Amino acid sequence: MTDSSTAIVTSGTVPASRIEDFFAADPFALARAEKQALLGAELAVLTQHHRDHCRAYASILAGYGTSPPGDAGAPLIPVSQFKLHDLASVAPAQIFKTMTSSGTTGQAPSRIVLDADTARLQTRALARIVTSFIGPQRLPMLIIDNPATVKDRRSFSARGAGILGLMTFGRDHHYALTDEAMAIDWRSIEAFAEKYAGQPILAFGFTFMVWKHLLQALETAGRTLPFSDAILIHSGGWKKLEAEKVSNDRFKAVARDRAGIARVHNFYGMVEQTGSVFMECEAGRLHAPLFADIAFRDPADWREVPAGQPGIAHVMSVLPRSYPGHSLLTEDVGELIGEDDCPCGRMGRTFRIHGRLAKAEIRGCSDTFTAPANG
Amino acid sequence: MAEPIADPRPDPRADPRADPLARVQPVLPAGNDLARVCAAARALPFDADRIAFIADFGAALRRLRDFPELVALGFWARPANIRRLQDRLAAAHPGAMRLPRGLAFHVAPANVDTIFVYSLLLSMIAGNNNIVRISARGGDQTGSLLQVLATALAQATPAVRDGLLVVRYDHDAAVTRGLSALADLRIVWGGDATVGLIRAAPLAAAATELVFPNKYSLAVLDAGHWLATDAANRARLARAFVNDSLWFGQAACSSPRALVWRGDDATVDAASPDFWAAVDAAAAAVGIELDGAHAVAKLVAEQGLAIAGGATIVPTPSNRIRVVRRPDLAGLGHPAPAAHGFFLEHRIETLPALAPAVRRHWQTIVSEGVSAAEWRDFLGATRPHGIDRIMGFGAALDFDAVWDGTDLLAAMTRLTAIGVG
Repeated sequence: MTDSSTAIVTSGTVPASRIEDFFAADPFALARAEKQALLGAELAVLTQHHRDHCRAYASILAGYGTSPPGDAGAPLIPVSQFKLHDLASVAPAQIFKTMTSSGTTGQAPSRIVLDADTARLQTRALARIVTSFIGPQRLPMLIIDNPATVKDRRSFSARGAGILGLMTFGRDHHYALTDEAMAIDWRSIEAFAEKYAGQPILAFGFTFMVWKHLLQALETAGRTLPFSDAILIHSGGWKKLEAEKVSNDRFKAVARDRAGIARVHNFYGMVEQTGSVFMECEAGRLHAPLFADIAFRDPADWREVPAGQPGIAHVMSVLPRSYPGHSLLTEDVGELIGEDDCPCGRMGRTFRIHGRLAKAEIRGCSDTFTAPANG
Repeated sequence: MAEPIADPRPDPRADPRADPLARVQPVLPAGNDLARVCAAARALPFDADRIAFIADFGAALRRLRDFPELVALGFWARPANIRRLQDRLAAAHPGAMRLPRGLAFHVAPANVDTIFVYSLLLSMIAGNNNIVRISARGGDQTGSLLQVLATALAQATPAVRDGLLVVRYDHDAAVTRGLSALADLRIVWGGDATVGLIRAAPLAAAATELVFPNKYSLAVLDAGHWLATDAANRARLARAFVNDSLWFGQAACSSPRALVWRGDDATVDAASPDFWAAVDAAAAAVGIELDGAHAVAKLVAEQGLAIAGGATIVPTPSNRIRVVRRPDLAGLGHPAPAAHGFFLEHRIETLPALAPAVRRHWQTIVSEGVSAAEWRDFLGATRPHGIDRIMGFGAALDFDAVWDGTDLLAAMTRLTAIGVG
């Protein structure tokens, strides 16, 4: 990765970015008042930065005038806007790589452009967050995916980007699956298990794939893996597991019994805000790191709902410089659990995600075969 | 009732193996089939048995309180309304005799719902026999509708029962061709794409067709009129506007997608926030549900219009109603990027300024503060290609036998001129 010396461009009246301050502090040490002062100012800087550098973003702000949705400092941009519009705050020549989401069938994928600066901030922030959970040592790493997922390094799927992002926290990487068919690669796993039997390892994969292709495959085969004190990091949502009635507790129990995994950290993140992920702590809560924040909003008026009430997740991140993604309205429903009060001792907001916003029924007196808008 | 003249067409069920019509699944009424509906006696317009059936069916629909659209259909089917249609039709050509066209083939829309039932009932009133193709994917409402229809048909006379057949079949062009070849009259709901698809199946040379392509509807409101009217009347108009737009999630053909203000800048600026606040309050009062996915879709849509340029997003009290203002008439008549309480807002100084924007697919204008005389002058002076109805606020969804520019009941019958003394 190239080390960019390009400073964040700001126009004359804008206060300078204080992004380095976010790396100077422990990512889970600042209490509300201190965090809000730092985060709020940085998000305002980013709003101004994207207004100055992204024409579409400036048009949105101009369209709203004095009453933008959500917090005035960083208005809500729905994540699907990145599927519908090319939103970039850098010239095409500055684009270092483009990340795409795994769009659901029939939908365009999100396209997120990264310049070297933003990519570097993402890598650094992810390292701060992950090492704060798993420690600085680089453990032997088992990737619950196939090697093909990370082959093309110019254009990344969300899955590929996730794997590449996490790979740096391990060493001697082995892949648990063989090919696009996602068959379990016993030979690779056996070689890895033999080498590190009785030792801690790091495993990473997408939630459903870890369950379906590793843990269930082990159960079906009646096999176990010989690790001890292993750590599993996984992400990607519970939707498919919920459909199979697999609870987080069951997932963890099977991971422990079958693979010697002592610690399981789920994380909530998205390709639109790579790097500033929300990780699950020992108490089972998802945590906002210093680089990010989360709020849950009432679909009636986008006002924040109090802790314990369901709302649409609004995620904030101080990392996005090359695209206006610092304040995004997701399509996920969840609730705030608390702030600065987690039994694990980490500061910041904690929350849980319930799932995807339900899609609405299509009605109309015409358009049997086409989209419903033209009634 | 007179015996029908023998039909020269071949029995469609002659060879079930080769005949695509063998793939048609009869749904209702129990025991009826294609051969029987094709052979059934045609009725005279306003046949007493059929009117009695429609009265029973309407009364049953009016009891379905969970489905306001079906209740509305039930009210439309009241005998008093049917008599009004009869008087209107009788006045048109008193010297000629009205007769049914014959066999009507109806293609109902997949998503909703009830509007095709109006044209079915009109065709029954006209005396035609009817085959109705319904979609395999119907919601709760379709289920309730079919249940009520089945019950009403079970109590109808054999002649009424034999003259109607509700069918299902998978998308199958050969079946559509087969049914179209049988029909004297084809009635196609479902929008442009469906009309295009069904039109690929030829009709018999002497047959006719009524089609219901995509339509666009809007509201025109005089800003000065809004400001001059009292609070109670404003609340009434706002409620009426909510009824026009938010049933069917704003997806009905006749639901307004845009509001065109008439007035000068200052008057419109004064009227607009007040109007939308009143509409928002009315939407909340009638308990229109705000779905999270709809709120997000509206947020995406309003920002998309801002990105396209020249649009201002009008602040509203809640996400029930979202409004994007354009400084001109650009985009008026285009498919809206969102529904469920999403409106474009435009301004014209005088009514003739609307003329260049009018398109062929414009159907309903709900209007307040612009008189019938002004609208007649406008239509006469500009002779627009579109605009089928100009109604007061609250009447957008009121179905009438004159629809999409056609007197449907007249079109579903034929006139036999009698020139002897």
